[in-house]
Amino acid sequence: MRILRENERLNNVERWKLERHPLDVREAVLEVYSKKGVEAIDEIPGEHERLKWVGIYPQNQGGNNFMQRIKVPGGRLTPEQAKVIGRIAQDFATGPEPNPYFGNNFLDITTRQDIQMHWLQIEEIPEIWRRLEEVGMTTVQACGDSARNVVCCPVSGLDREEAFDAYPVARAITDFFVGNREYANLPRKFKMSVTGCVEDCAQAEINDIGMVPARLEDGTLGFNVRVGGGLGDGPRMATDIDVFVRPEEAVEVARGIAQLFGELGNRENRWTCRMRYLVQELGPERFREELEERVSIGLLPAGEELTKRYRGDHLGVHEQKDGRYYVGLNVVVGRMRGEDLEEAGRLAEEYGRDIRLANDQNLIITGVPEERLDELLREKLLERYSPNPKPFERGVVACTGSEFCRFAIVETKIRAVEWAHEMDRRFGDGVGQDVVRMHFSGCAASCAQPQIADIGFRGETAKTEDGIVEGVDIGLGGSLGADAAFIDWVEGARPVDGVPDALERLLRRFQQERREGERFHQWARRKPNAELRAIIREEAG
Amino acid sequence: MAGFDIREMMNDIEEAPGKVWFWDLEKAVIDADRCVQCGACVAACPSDSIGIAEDDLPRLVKMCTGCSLCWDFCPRGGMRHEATWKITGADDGIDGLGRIEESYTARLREDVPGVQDGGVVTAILTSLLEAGEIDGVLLARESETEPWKGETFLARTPEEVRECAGSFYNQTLALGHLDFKGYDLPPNPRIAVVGTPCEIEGIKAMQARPWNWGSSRVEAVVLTIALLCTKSFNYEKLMLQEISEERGIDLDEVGRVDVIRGKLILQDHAGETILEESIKHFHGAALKGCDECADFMGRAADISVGSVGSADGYSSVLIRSEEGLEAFEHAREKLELRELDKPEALYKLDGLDKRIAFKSLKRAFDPDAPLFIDYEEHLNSYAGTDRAPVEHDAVRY
Repeated sequence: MRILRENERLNNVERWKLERHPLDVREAVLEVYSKKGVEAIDEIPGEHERLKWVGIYPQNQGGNNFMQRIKVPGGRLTPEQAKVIGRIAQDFATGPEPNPYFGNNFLDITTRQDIQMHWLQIEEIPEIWRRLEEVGMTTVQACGDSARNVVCCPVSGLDREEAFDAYPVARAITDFFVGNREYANLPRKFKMSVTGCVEDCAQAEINDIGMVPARLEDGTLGFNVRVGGGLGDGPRMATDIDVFVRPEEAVEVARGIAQLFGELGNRENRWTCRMRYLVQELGPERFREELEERVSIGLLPAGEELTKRYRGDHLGVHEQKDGRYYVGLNVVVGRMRGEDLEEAGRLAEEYGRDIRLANDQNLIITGVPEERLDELLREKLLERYSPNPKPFERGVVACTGSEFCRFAIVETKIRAVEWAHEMDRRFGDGVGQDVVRMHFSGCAASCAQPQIADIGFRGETAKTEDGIVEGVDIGLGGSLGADAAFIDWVEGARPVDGVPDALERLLRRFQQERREGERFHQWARRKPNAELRAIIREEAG
Repeated sequence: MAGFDIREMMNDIEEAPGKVWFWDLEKAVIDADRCVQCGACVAACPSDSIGIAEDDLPRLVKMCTGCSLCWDFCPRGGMRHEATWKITGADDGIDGLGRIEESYTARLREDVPGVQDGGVVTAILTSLLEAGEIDGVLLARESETEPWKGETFLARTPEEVRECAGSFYNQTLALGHLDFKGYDLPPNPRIAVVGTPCEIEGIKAMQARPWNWGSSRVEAVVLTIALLCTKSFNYEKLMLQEISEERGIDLDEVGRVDVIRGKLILQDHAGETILEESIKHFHGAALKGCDECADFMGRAADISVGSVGSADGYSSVLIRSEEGLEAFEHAREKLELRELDKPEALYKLDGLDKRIAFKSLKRAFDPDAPLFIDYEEHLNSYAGTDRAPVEHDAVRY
């Protein structure tokens, strides 16, 4: 791929990628590192970076401790795949000490419908890959500067209201990019979202490419295209570039946008090189022009938008378009034991059809006949992963946090669970809405998507008289959908110990002041930030 | 539009009060030419996101997570440097020389080539290494490629310490090397640090507030020795421009560099003076940020050492802490000791240093104030001055 950006100076990562193609790292893991050990990785400049192209990150413990991310396109798993992944976690994801809350041999469902597991050692990777590949799965390009997992509505093909099933498109885009050396060196990660549902389940607004259902005047169904969305420390809502794409053209358009990004994206400054910065620089018209020059099809203007609302989760029991049911289970903060995913695979096999992972870190069992629903709902696994959770545990999302991540400033998973349970205990069902979305990111990278939550937390250090303690920035009033907007970071660097009481104060005030049908994020938006800050700080009466 | 400022154009999010990113430090300190190259920001970054650029200034090498610690521990940013004096028990206010348990004029009894003044630092460090009390010393030695440029080195034997004897007058971002990367050390190493007062302030402030410092092993530092210091210099400006280009001196011919009694003195390898000139002539090569420092004495250190206050060939030694006393005991027999020759000289230069600092600082000087200064507070003090944060696309890479 040519680099066409003028006056371009390459950053270190770019130089490493040019020295050796990052996808070559797969062979190196198989032939060298798994046999000679981690020291051999250290000998190659940039190799820890290249490992990301096979889904491997070093953990913050260093040494021979790695996280591996498994790509799950559209979040769709066969029962067999679920069982294999669950088994891998049991066999390999073994920490030296059990986590005080989650124990050992667990895995994490991510906000991109992927699965991550920890405590893997480099010599175990070939066997893990062998097992995954046997059931048609890969870790290639789960991380790194290339196309990440393509997200899709988790109930595509099942949802009674969807415009069409977009999963085949998500799958085709995945198949085009995985292992494609030409497109595997982009300036930064490249996140795509495709859905045919009317509820923006794939979060088009916060992806580099968002394809949402649309219809031409002649009735042709396809997608309108948005580009340049994302979170991190430079959040941006995606821009509509006035393009309609037929499903069969979606791969070509995704390829063209990747080419555009690869050629014109910033490869100098690693912190402003996501595609949203390029979209911001070019503007929608110029972006569209540049895209038109790079694709083999004529670009049609956008069609009628079919998105009606935003849906944050798929928990509970819901009828499918074929008369069967899917059951959404609440995996609080996305963490579950390997044996539990294996059991979920067994349940899907016995009662239904397959498993879907959702970008709210939950899990769905699909294709259950009505006559078997009660039996499934009585299964022991559903006691632990409830289809009918309380409002806070239902809405809580957390990133990996400082337990494993080299960037996280604070612990997130346990704390998020504890805060959610604490809030549910304090409010019961009386908070006034069926779900309150609290998203907890351990740093500014926004892996837990705090900007779109009712209440977003961002890890920070807090200074007290006694020293430095774990703290959070608190943001309020985020959502996607018709009234999509990011949170404002209302308060900064609050020590974590005082957060539950601050949340209670906020929520009590919301209960007192809410208007008919008003939801928390709407109340928070209409309330001046200074007043919200005063409530958090207990300066308000 | 390549700078960080593009972020602010992409949304209308209100940022958290007091939120600080590395690029704020960049604008307020690095781009404002106020960085004193101590490396505290590199050491403090929990994600190892800050490295050292080719221009010897801190730079972002990985994602900034917004933890604010680089700002909090920067002696020209969020760390009120004079508030660190209390950490080591100095309670003599603005006019004193800090906590002093013992003070001497001293020099090595034996002749060690290359030592500065009385060779006291060399004596203490070699004694500690010989006694197995420490595993290494972070100090400065001459670069292999750039003559008379100091660079950070971890000496692990008395011989290596002796090889590093002598002073350099550029900063080495010493705290950026607290990861001890590339050195073989035991599992829980005990390290001494010889550095400028600002470097010691950073270490002490971080040690007083334990945190995860990424790969920086702040807790490994068991002894700090501050070199009395009124200012450091930019290597290129001092050695290459002023001395080599302007005055035509071949740096390879220089055997010794000294700053004594207000003069910069260069000697050749035979000990003959080849330059003796008022240090004032070289102030243009000094780091601008050093003007704001009122800690000539190195009050946060366990031991302070320098030439001021003692006769030529001797060092003034001020021992400030229990750790300092214990360390000094190991070297006592190697040293010729007497009462400080001219303590008034220390007071005089300390007073001058403070006057410059009070004039240069754009905020109130207060050793009793809280250690941390919010970015907003800094802006209130510095905006509109000649040391204000630089408002531009703060990208140097």
